[in-house]
Amino acid sequence: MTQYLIKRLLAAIPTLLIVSIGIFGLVRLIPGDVVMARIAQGGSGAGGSVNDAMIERTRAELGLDRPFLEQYADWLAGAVRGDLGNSLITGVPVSETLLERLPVTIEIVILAMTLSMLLAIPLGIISAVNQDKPADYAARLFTVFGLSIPDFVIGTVTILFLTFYLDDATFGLFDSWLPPLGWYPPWEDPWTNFQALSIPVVILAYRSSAVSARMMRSTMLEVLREDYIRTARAKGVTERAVVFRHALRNSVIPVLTIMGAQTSFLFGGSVIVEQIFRIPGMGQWTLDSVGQRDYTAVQGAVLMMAVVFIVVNLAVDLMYGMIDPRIRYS
Amino acid sequence: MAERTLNAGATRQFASEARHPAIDALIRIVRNPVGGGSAIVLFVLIASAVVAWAGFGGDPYTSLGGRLDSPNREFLFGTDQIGRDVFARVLQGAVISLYVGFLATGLAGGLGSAVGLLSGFAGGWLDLVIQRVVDALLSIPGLVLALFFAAVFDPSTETGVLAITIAITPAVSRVIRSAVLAAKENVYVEAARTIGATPLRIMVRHVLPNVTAPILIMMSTLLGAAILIEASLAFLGMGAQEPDPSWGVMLRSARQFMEVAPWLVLAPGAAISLTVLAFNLLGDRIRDVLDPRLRGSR
Repeated sequence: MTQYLIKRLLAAIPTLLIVSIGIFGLVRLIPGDVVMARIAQGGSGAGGSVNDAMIERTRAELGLDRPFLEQYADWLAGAVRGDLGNSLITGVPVSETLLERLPVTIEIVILAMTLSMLLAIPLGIISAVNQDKPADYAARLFTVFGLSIPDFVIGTVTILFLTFYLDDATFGLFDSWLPPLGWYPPWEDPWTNFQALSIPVVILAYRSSAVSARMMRSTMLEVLREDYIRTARAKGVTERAVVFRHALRNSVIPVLTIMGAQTSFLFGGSVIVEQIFRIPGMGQWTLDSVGQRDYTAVQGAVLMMAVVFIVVNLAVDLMYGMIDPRIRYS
Repeated sequence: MAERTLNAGATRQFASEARHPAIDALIRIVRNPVGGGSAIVLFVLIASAVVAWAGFGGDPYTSLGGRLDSPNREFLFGTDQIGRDVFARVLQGAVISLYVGFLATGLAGGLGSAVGLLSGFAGGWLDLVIQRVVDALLSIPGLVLALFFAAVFDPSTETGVLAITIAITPAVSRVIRSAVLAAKENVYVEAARTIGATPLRIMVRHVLPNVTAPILIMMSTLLGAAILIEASLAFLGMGAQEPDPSWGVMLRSARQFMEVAPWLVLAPGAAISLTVLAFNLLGDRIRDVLDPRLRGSR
């Protein structure tokens, strides 16, 4: 087990190296932009004219005049020690911003993942047990909508409805209400934190549950056709026990395997909901940094997402052993 | 004479058996409420895109009416903040969506298939290297990857195509690779190798035809995904830009005016949702017909 863990951790290293070289190299394909952004930020351009000396000076300042591999080695050596450089725009260390932004998005992703599983597993079971009956069609319609309606459409329409139409739609039972925008530390103001995150979390969970529910349905259908299920039924085990005690455990495993992919999907979705609900998390930070061409920040954010993805996948792999004792690590 | 009438049934039966399998599959895909419904939606979508592209869909760029007119007989979906016809803009948006969707899916499908074929067929260190790069690309959320590339090359509709292609290619290559690995084990591949067929010939003549089903199944779903990413990029300001009426751009601009003009949100929102829904449902139906094993029923 320990050996397996070490092997997996070592295997993650080349992936991370490729991610970092890719991001680092691409950013430097267009160094002119970083320099211009920096000069524009400095505001020292007299009348907007930029001379060559100034460009050279800024390039040297950012270390862009050195050979690529040297720059990369430098950055990597820093990254390993937790130093991701300073933001090109604000000058604040990237790791500092990261520590502020990551917990916000992690809270959203964990809540959304939990809700998504709570939604997907029952939906998949209902669908599979009632195959080709109205309940199955209803559940499948619900999930295919989740796959198809973009999160920014759901987000925008939800805000539109809550803010302007809620009182009319409920005949005055509820006042129209705009959820608090932003993020409030749960240890200071848990109720506001809950209100602010509830809608973005529900939107993300709905979209990601669509994928898991479809998977749950098809694996459940497969398991229900297994011989041991027929044996259980022949013994006279009640249908409820067949589904929950015999079939559920084996059909839930493939659904858990895609949790890693779901994390990635949720991080992607967080860019959108954080933008709509003005939540200061990783997604908003990435988008802002991309927009401002703050390349050190973009490098840090993207690398962090890749790290989280790899860690979650490893954790999921280790979890199988607990759910399914037949799996042996080697 | 009488003989001929008797044989008519047999002849017809024979004809249906002789039908090309692709046409047969197509008929089975469409002869189904889900498949047929989504095919109709997509047909209407493509037809309206052609109408808009040919210039018969109204003028999406100039102010024709008052600002924020609600939907009326002249402007079916009302007008936007500077008096442009929202209906004409939604139609023109279909052109952008389909252009980006088909182009990105075609590029990603071709590139991903080539990489997947190569990786799965070659095996060894080449496979290992390619798979590590694919791992790296898959470890970054697709939307973030697309955002990153869109920003590196200045946001526009065209860089959006490139960004979306890069975001979906790794997934395509994975699916094709595993299909190739399965197809490679077939006895006839071994037979071909025994009689001295070159690797290229085996790959193109014997393996490729066996992975067309997974490629086709993926294409429809990918079209939906590509259109979704295009709209998301545009919504975030990193894809198509004003005044181009990409559905994502329309929603982005509509948000400030949605209290007085909800149609500005609802029209493009419904257009994207319906389009992606149709592509997803069609993809499901194609999968059911082409690969019944994957259906997970009977």
